Amino acid sequence: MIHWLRTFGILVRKEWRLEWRGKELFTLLACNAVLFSVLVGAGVSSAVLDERAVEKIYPMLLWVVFMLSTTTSVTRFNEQELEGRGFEGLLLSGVSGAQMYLSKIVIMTIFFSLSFVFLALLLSLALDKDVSGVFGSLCCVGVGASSALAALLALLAAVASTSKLKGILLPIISIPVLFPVFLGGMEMTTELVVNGALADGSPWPVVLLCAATLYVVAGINLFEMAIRE
Amino acid sequence: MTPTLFPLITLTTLVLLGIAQFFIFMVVPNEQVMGAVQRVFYFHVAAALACYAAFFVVFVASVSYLTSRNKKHDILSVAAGEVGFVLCTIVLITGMIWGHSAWNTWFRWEEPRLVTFLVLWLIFLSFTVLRNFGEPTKTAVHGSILGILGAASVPLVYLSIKLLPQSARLHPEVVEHGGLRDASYWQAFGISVVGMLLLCALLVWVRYRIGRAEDRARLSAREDMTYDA
Amino acid sequence: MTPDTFPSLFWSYTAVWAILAVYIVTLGVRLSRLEKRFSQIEDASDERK
Repeated sequence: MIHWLRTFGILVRKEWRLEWRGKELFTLLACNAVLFSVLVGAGVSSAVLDERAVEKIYPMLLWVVFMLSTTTSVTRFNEQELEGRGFEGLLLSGVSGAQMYLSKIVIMTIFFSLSFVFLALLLSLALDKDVSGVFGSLCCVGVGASSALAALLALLAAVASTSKLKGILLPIISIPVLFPVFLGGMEMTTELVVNGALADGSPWPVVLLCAATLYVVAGINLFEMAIRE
Repeated sequence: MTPTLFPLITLTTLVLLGIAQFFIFMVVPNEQVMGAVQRVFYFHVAAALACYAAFFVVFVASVSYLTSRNKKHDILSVAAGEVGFVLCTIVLITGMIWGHSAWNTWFRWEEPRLVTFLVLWLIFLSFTVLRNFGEPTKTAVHGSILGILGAASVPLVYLSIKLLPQSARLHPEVVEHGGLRDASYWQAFGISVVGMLLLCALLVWVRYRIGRAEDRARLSAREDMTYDA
Repeated sequence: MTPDTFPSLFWSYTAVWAILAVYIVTLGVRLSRLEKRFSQIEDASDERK
């Protein structure tokens, strides 16, 4: 177990260093977040909506932009390992696919969570919607959804990275499967923004948990097959 | 076996669908609330059940391909995926026609079953896109991974849409509420379902045979090249 | 008043199903021929080896 954890720690550090060296995911997430927010802000301002309407559309826009920016940003996440045959080397050295997959989830969750916080702030500025009162809870929802998102995208990025369509294939294959995460995140954000807290007995945290568990179980079992071929 | 069984099944399917048409358009009386448009129900529900069956085949064939690496299972999963996509399209179109008559609108986002089928359709679409644009040497494994993920997430998609607060449950619950009181309703429904399931099986079979022929052609070409070299 | 029977719809749907069935049977026949041809080619290839 200690050996497993040590290897896992090394893999997380490797993922971090790879991202730190290339800064591709970070740059893409930030650029997409800004671009989509500017588009949404400009579009909404031209629609001349009242405060009540903005309160209702803020959660929806936040989640649409978050889903689009994450699914379009992770397409190059495995690129360096594929080009340098890193996966092959790691598998030959005895590292399991599950460990590689989990280390990718950790790094992706960190970056997606940061991107969510950044987006929540950007959109609150663009739509002039004050969310400071529920910002802590909003971040918790973001981290929960980010982990589910990371669990699926870590697996499907490995599937999409070798395709001819590359960049555009990942959103096409991941968004339909991510529907429960999208609905869960959006509904929890609506509860927070409109009521100031999650509703008593809200089913959405359980939906997010179920989705994350399903994706992690699938990823642990299938990731190695996706990269080994 | 194939040369005799194939025309026999085709003929049985045609006869059953012909009888179903006869019941639907010549025997069953108009439904009291929905009137003549309720006749769409026999195509709509039968296609939906056949679509679920196709999705189940995709799931089972994908799992068995990943465990056995038998190419036949992969070809079966491709065949069921494509036929399921066509059936899902039929369900959506007939559902929208029925919806327009019942609710005076083509699509309602509050309606769990309609939205679930839209997501299911998107999953089938992504499965087909991945099969056509994936890396040729890896599409079998990658397609199977997506097939398993897609099928496993459908119950969660349905549950999450059903949990939406504004969910109005507008879908006509014909069978659940004992709407098929006349014996001819049940006869038409039963024959339509069996006919559509047989049609689904027949189309999957044809597509499977085409896939096998393609595979044999590829193998022959490869062997020829090796021999010439 | 909506009629209770729709003969024209019945016949048009029956025609559509019949066309589909003919197409499927044609596909089946062509596939059988193709499969037979493949078997012949594979046998010839085995002999050549």
